Amino acid sequence: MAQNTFDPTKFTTQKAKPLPVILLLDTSGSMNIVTNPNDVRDTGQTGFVDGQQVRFVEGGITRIASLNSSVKKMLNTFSRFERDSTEILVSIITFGADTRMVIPPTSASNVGFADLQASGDTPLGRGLGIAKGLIEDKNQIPSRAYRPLVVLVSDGMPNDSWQGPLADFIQNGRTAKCDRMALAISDEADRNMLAQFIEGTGREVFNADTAEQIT
Amino acid sequence: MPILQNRLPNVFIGEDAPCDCWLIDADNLCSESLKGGQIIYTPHLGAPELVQLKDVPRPRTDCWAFAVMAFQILALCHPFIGKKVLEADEEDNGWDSEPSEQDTSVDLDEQAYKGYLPYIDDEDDDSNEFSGGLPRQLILNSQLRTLFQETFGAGRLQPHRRPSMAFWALEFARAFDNSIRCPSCKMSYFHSPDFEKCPYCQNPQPAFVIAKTNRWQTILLGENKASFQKSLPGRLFHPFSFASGDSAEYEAEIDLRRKNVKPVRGTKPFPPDLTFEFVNDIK
Repeated sequence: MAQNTFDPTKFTTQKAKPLPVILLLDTSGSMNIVTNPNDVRDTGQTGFVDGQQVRFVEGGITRIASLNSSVKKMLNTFSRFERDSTEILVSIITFGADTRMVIPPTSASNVGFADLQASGDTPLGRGLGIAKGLIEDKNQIPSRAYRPLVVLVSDGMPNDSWQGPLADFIQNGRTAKCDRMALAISDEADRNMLAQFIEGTGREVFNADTAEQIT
Repeated sequence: MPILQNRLPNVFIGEDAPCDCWLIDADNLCSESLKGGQIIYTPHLGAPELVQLKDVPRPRTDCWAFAVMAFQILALCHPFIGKKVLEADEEDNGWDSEPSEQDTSVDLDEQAYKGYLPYIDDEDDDSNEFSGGLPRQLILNSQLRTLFQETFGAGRLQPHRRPSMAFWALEFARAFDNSIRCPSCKMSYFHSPDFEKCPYCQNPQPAFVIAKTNRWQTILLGENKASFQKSLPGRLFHPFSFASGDSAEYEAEIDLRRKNVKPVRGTKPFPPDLTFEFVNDIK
């Protein structure tokens, strides 16, 4: 039977395979440390944050501010890429005082990113657990997709029991098949831990005073 | 002629209207032999034997790429991404499965592009069907449907079965010459008893003329005008050829209100076997 009218409500096309990108971001208190210590004004106050002795200053650019700006630039780049080509499914998980998935798998163009705040400890193990739960879920990260990329960004030493979750992440299940990148935000970052995270990927741990290199 | 390049490499589209479209292939970049040479193809357009490194570029591999491009432009979907890819079982081939021995890429999409899966409209195999895209009844006549079936059905595994470019040129010209461009929404649809109104916007079929000879016929339409001029193409009068099929053989002055067609003043008179049929009354 010939179809005589076109019903646009019934029009579908083949959904393209998405590229899942999972950001695992350190939002511990040490991310409030400034990246430009020579340009700041000392307030004279000191304190103890996230295991470190600190001076409180004004007028600086904090690591977390830098991270926020880089994530936004990255989302912009992904959105432009999405227009012409592949859907990029972005998920963002933070680990710090606030350890949770702040952005569930969302097309880069649709991500509503609110600047992250930094405080608290560095519970990497818990963060990895959340990432693991996400990636093992085929409803959230489909099989019909490009190989997911997990990007771990950290500026310090994790202080929960993370070795087990890290080994589990890189050795077992779907997470073992993901591609991985690591970005050390500061000299205080645990490079051994980051190197372990990217073992087998053929990559180096990236250094960044800012996190722009994620893009 | 100013040209602009659209997103597909090797496809150049003119700015004048009606625009010329040139497909310029990269055959001369490829070597004669399989070993030590470079085989160049555009992703998702490469013929199966090319992508599987079983053959080098030839006219029949160009015919495949052309057919994939044509299908995508007309149907707004890829001819090989169907339910086998889109509704695959979880156990099947995604980024998270183990690679098999014979082909390192088990990714189902890539398998489809490489020609391992059947055509979505294959008349003999509906295992990879796809019911999306533009309805084929609206965009393909039976001759074009046959050309796609020959190319993507039998022609998938037997490259010599693929129709040559001459057939495509002929059938696209025929489809074009028997299409009505809706004056309201500008989509085109076939002149057939199935379509009394535009299938896209339901605008009534406009008034037009069919110029007919023993060998060919073509629809002549003005843009909402009752009187207009049109060239009569060479394919009405001569055996179809790439060179002369499109050339303006005669110039016609058409008056839909008076139902009258004559040669444009100063141009040559019409041949005896050329007739005109007026369809629909002008409003």
